Amino acid sequence: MPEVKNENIIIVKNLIKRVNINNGHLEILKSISFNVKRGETIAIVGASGSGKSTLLGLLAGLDSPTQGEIYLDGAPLHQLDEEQRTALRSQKVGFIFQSFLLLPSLTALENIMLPAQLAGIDNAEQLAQQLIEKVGLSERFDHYPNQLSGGEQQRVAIARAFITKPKILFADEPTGNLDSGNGDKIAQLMFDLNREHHTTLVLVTHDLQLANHCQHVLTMAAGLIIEHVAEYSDVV
Amino acid sequence: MWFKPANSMLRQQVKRGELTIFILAIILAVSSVFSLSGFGERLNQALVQKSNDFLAADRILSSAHPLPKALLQQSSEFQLQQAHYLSFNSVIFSDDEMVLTNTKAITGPYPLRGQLKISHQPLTAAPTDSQGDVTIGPPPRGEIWLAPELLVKLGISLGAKVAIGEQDFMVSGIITLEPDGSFNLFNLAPRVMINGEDVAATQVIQPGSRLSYSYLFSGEETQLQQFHQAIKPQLQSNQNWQDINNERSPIAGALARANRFLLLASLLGVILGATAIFVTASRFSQQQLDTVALLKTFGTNDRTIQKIFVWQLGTLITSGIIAGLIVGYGLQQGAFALVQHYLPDSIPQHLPAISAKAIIISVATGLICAVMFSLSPLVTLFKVPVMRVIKRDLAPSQFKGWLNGCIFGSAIFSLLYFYSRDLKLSAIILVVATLVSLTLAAMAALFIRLSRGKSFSAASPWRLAIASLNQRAVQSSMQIASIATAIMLMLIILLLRNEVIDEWQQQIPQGTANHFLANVTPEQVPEINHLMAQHQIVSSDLYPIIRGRVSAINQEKIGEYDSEANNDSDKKREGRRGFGRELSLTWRDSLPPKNPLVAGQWWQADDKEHLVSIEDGVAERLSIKLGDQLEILIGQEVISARVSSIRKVNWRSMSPNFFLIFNRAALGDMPSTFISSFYLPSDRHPLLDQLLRNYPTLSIIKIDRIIKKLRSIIDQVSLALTYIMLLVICASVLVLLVQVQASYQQRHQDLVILRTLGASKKLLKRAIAYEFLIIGGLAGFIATFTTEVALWLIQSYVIEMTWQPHPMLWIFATVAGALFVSIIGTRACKPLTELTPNQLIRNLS
Repeated sequence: MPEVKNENIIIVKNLIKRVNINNGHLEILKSISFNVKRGETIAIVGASGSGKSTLLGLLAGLDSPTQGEIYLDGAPLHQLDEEQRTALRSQKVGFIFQSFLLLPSLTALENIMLPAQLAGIDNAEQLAQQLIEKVGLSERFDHYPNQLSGGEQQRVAIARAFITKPKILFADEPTGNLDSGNGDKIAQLMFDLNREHHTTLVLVTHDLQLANHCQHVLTMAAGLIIEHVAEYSDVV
Repeated sequence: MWFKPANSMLRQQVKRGELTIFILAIILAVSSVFSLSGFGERLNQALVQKSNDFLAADRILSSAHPLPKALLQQSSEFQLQQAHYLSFNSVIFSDDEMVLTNTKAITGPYPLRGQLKISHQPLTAAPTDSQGDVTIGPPPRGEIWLAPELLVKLGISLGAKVAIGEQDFMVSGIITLEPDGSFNLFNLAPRVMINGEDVAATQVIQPGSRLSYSYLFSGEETQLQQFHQAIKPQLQSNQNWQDINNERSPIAGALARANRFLLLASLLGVILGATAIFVTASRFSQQQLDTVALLKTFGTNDRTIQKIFVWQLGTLITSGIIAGLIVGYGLQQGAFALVQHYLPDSIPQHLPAISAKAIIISVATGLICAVMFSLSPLVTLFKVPVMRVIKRDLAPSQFKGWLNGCIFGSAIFSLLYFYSRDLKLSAIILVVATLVSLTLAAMAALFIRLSRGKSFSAASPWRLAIASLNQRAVQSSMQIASIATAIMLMLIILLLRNEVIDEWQQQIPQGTANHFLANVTPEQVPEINHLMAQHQIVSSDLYPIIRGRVSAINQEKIGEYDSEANNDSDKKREGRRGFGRELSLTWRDSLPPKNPLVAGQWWQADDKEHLVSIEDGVAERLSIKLGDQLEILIGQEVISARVSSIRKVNWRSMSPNFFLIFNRAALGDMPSTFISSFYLPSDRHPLLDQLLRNYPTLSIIKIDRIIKKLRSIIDQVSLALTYIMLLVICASVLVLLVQVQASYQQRHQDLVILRTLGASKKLLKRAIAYEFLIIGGLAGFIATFTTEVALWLIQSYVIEMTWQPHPMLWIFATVAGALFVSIIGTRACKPLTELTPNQLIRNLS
């Protein structure tokens, strides 16, 4: 499938993000450009305050840029209003957060079903059951988040991220709240599912070891990409 | 050492607006108590004073004998104003006619309250009470003032000469308005006024004459009470100290209810304020958990931590109380300015200096609320484990539910008692409050069980709403509880207000009899009935009146109870005393309207046995049971009758009422006159003159003034209630906001997740609206239940009204509760739903 590989699923051109602070404004992202091809895995690394989480937010359509263009699977994110971006997220995007962000009012299974239901998928429950089995929690489907350990909660979050078969998965420090043993398992699970679903993965992390599992590593500092290491030579 | 960080922490919290509602709640509690204690007291004063017009004084000491001079002189020591009059029945003569009158011989500045109007010109037309000049004091010696009908009966006009006993008088005025105009149906002689110093010259006062001395007093309430205490030991059993409240009059009843009602309503406002304080205090301590855990980690000892937070709370409470007093003063001023034209002139038109009592009550309310209700959250806060810095979800061990309940309950009870000084009322409210919490706990548990098993679909805002309620099951039920309390209080006040006013208005609906007709002879009955029909005048039946006294109960002579040698208990003697006096008796074939039977049965018109129906109060006082035999002395004749029924009598109704009603067999043959009541609009008053001219022996008693006054009291009370309603609504909104604020953090996190996962704004807004709809609807529904219970208790035991169910209320309260809560709730959550996902995430972290 080389032609698929060559297609850019994320295109970022001259992206700038400014925020107003007190009397002046702060440029968090300073003219960022890069592309990501379909099915690739890419890690964004950098020190705290380098702008990596802001970049992730913009790529996922959680926020809008001050200037520049972002295309997500062909859709011009920078031209969409908030509701359109929300609709796009429910169709094409999955998320994994450092703090899991499960809804405490829902059971594990219900949490997994949630995005599918929001996207209007009919067999949400069936899909959720398949996924909960894959992440090894089928025995605990009716447990509430506060009855699960951190590692288990993140497994639920991973299953939830894949239920809509998203084209792109955004993960923000997915192992940040876990011990190394659990972190490794979670990372493994995430990459396995990613491969299985042919999902494009955008991962933000401090953890260079985790980043090195990805095909590309973008290093950020002070709102700029200062290094781009690619496993394949055909990446720009 | 601890002061600086405590101060800066507090300043930060105040700046972020986190404590605004806590302070607002204290301000609300303090300002409502403060403004009510001023405004309510003043309104009450106005009510009492208006009503005192009916006595022509603040207090009356009535006596069958003249009072000793020394006793009267004491009144000046208490700076009381004083006047008195002697009243007696006497015959007045003109050249051709003579009429039995009731003479009032006045000494001093009568009336002390209300208005006496005397016209020195012939009357032009009805209504009469708009004519004449306001007058204080008796007529000059040798002059006499007459009731208008006397001029007709005697066939004279102003300037004519009349005689009472041995003394001639010149008719110099017509009495058009008499503040304490006799409302005694059975003292039907028209009024005459002369100067007290002319009494001796008439020589009508002989040993054995029936005289009534009335000593009128007015002045400061406290001084009146002190004076009463001072003379009490010297009073004889036939001397009676009266104020408007121990009068058996519609006004007294209305007044007593109005008072209780105002008190109740303001109490409820305070409870709401207290609820808001409790919730905000809990939230405050919840927010401080991390800070306390962190302080403990740094090695700060418990004492210092306690100092920091006690100081912080103390500062908040103090500033809340001070602000509350200022706001309350403003409210009081504003409310007073609004109602000023309703108040009688005798109430000072400017507000007096703030009374120390009002300040003490308000500050104490603020303190009790704030201290008692923040106690358990604060103690919980101090118990937070240090490990929380590492494991964020570690919470301090909570107070036991029952302990919390006890603290809350005793705080509410002490507030209630402190404010009302009425154990029964306080207990009723507390019972209802407990009932509400228990009902709510049960409902919440049921609700959680019902909704858990349901399959979940996030696509539906209803499901999201239910899940959200479920997630915060405990909080949700607390939320429902306090909102239900707020709704309940609003409903109670609204319904009671309407019902109190309704009942009053039913008592005096449009067309209520405003005249009594008396002294109708049996021969006149058909003619008068015909006349009434001809002029389409609505009137009660004509009741025969026979004067008689009860001489024995079951052959036991009543008179004996008054003898000193009697060994019966004081209570029994007290009860029977006075019943041996002459009473107005009547007979009827049918049960009069508004006289429900409580025991026995009404007789058949053709019953041959002598039967009597007795009023329930008298029956109880005299221990008279069904089947007892009463002996009645009428003139020289003794009639014996068996008690066949016991009736309730609404003494406040404007129609003829009787202690004893006999059947036709018992009294049908007795000579009698008849009385009736009827309604005549003021523009048809000339008809009265015609009636009097045609039937000069008739007596007509006007009671429109009483009715007018009742209406004005009702208006004033409605006004006060509207004010209190506004306060309670403010308090309810505050409680709701507090509750929404308390769930803010959790909501925030949910919104972040849902927004990120692609839930549309519309879906989330709807889910929030539905959640509040459910909370409000459920709260409204439960509130209706508890309101019905509370109303039943209050109406049965506190204000003595008949309770009725309100079927429409269930629907109304549920819908209104749902709408009210969802509007306020969605409005309060708007900032959250308007944020972009990224802002949400940032705020969350």
